[in-house]
Amino acid sequence: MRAEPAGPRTGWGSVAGVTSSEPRPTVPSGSRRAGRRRVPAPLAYLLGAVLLVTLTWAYVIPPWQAPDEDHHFAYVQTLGEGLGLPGDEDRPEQSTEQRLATSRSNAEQTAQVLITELEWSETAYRRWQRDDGALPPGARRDGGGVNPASTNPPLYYFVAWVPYQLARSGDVFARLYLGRAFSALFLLATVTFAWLLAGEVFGPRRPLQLATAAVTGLEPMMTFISGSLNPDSMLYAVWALALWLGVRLLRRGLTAGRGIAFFAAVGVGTLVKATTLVMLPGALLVLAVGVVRRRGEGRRGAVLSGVAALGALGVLAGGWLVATTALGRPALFQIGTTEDAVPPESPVRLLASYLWQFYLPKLPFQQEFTGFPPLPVYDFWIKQGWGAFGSLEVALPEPVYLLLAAVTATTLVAGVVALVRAGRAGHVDWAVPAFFAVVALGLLGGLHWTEYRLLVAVGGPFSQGRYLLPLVPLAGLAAAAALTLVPRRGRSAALAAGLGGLLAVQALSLAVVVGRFYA
Amino acid sequence: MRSRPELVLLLAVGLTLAAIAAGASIKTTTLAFTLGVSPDDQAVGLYGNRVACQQPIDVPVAFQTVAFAVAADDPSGPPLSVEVRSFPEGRRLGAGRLDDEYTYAVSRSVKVGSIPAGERVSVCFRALGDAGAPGAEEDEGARLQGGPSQAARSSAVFLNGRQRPDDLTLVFLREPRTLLSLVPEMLDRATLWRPGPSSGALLAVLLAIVAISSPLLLGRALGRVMELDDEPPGIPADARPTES
Repeated sequence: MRAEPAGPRTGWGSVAGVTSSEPRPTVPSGSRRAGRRRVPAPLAYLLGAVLLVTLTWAYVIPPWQAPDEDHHFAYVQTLGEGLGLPGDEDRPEQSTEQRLATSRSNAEQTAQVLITELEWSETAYRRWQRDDGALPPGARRDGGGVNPASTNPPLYYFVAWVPYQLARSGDVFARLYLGRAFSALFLLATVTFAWLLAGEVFGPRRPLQLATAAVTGLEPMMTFISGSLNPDSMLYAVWALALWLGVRLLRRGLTAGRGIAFFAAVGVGTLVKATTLVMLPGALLVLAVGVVRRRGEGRRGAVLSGVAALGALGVLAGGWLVATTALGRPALFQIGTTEDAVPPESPVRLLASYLWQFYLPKLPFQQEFTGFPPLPVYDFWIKQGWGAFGSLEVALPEPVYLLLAAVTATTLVAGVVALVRAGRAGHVDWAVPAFFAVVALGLLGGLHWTEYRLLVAVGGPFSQGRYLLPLVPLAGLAAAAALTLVPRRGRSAALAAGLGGLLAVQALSLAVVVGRFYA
Repeated sequence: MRSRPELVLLLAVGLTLAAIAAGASIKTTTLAFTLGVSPDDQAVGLYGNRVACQQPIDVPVAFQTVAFAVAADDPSGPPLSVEVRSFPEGRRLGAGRLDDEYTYAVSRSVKVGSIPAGERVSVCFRALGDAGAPGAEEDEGARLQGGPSQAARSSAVFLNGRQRPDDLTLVFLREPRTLLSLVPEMLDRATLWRPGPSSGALLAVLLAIVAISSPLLLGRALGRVMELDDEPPGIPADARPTES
């Protein structure tokens, strides 16, 4: 892992400078173009491919057939119609307009149920058009009630307000699909930050940057979720940004600017989804390393920079906490209780048993948990992480999952081997992998803790593979690190095989989705 | 390969699509369309002069057979008549009869003749034989399965003309078709419930553009990065982090 030259670089220009090793055309001094850097051509090509694929997903997925999309649309519509944040217990969850569209298209019955199809009748569609056109203006403004997404922080929904207004004159599907297309743009940001992250980790080595960014942008669930109306699309972008800024801080040293930028990214993440709070231990580790590495006179300045960075986080995350308190809204996901709860006789034993059974086969004396598959790590993290479309009910053929599991395991192991080898050669700044490990364990720990609490409170599983997707840039780094083990003459073929494999899985995933919804 | 990475990636996508097409040319389906109702519960009991109709149903695809879920207390449930009528006129478009034995909630199918696409219909059921005679008891009859208000809200079960808050589990079938032969229909369906004017043909063109452009773009990216790759294997040498 090569350190970049330190220097006062800011903005996109420095971004391109860090990552671009292409020869650049000579620009006459004094020209207005002097100092401007172009987006690296390979990244531009990759972004083009990712955009095409993601927009295809956005179009092919039927309305409201992505996870919780009906709830997210209701949230956006509540904001878009000037009703403030959703969650009013005295109002219906969805507007009359949305309910008419979901009912007539049969979207509400199709979600999660494989034997159910959307309405295929052109006549029914025309009838909906007629009835939708006859709705009074208030039919868009009578939603705003409680729904599972209404406790989410509002940042993504405020952003999605823009396409909602742009498509205001269109019907409900125009607003939904433009919102999806808008969300797809976040994946371009995610891919760009993954490219930059790889540039910071490996130095300006284009094949490794391409591998990292391509895995991030072409993993099927990334394109599926980013092509739907879902705050996760923005979450992936913010996490990729935070990962890049965190590594940048570690590699280049702590300054007020770098610290504030990094912690502001984490703070913005908490305004997208409270899940981002699990990144805090990793962020604090980065800050601590940044302070410790400054010696002598610089230490005091580093401490002040750290305080400023924490202040940025406090303003953003704390602001939302204050706002929710003032509004009487829950700031975090709330867990209720039901009769299916599993009251733990020994919480520690139950937690240990749950974690064991998540990753390893159940032992004969262990308690069985209702609703869990035999090996959750495979079903949740691998299968759903690669491809569980619609509302999780659309799956790839089982042999494909087995192949993807093997590829995933091989990639991760090879990535670790490359890291260890580089470490033995003294090429690794260990603070960087430590940062990644703490962030990854933070997310896994947060998900398992939530699932454990739900297990105790209501029973049944909570985990879904898509919850791990913010870590996909790290999987991309692992793939890139694995690529470094390949001799140069075979590297081109290995990278081509990886990219071809990603495209093949994309094509298969789209075919499976088309077959499920339209055959 | 180094000079033509686009071709390699095009080949990867082409082979995948060919494999998908080969699979789709083997796999067949008889599904015309469905109301999408899970057979979770009894929707309506059929005995005596009771007639249960699910209506109205828009017919997007022609069908010849109606499949439904039915149960009975008697070891062999009573025969049933199935009629397809135009809605709201009530003109008989097709009919059939279930004589197979059934007990528990099972799926049964009845051929009703060819019902063309574009119709708006009722599908009506009535018990025959002793169970359909006046004065027959409930336990002699059949129970059509369905669920509460699961079909599109414009359709519901009507028992002797009175609406009930349930829907029947109905699946409409036709002669077996390969998935590959259904592609034009699938593309048309994929353009419904979308904004703006669109058609299956236009979608096919757009998908073809994506299928060709994506590997070409990635191939260009690959070609450019490999031109610049002159690094030896391994993660490159590190320098200590710099202070600024």
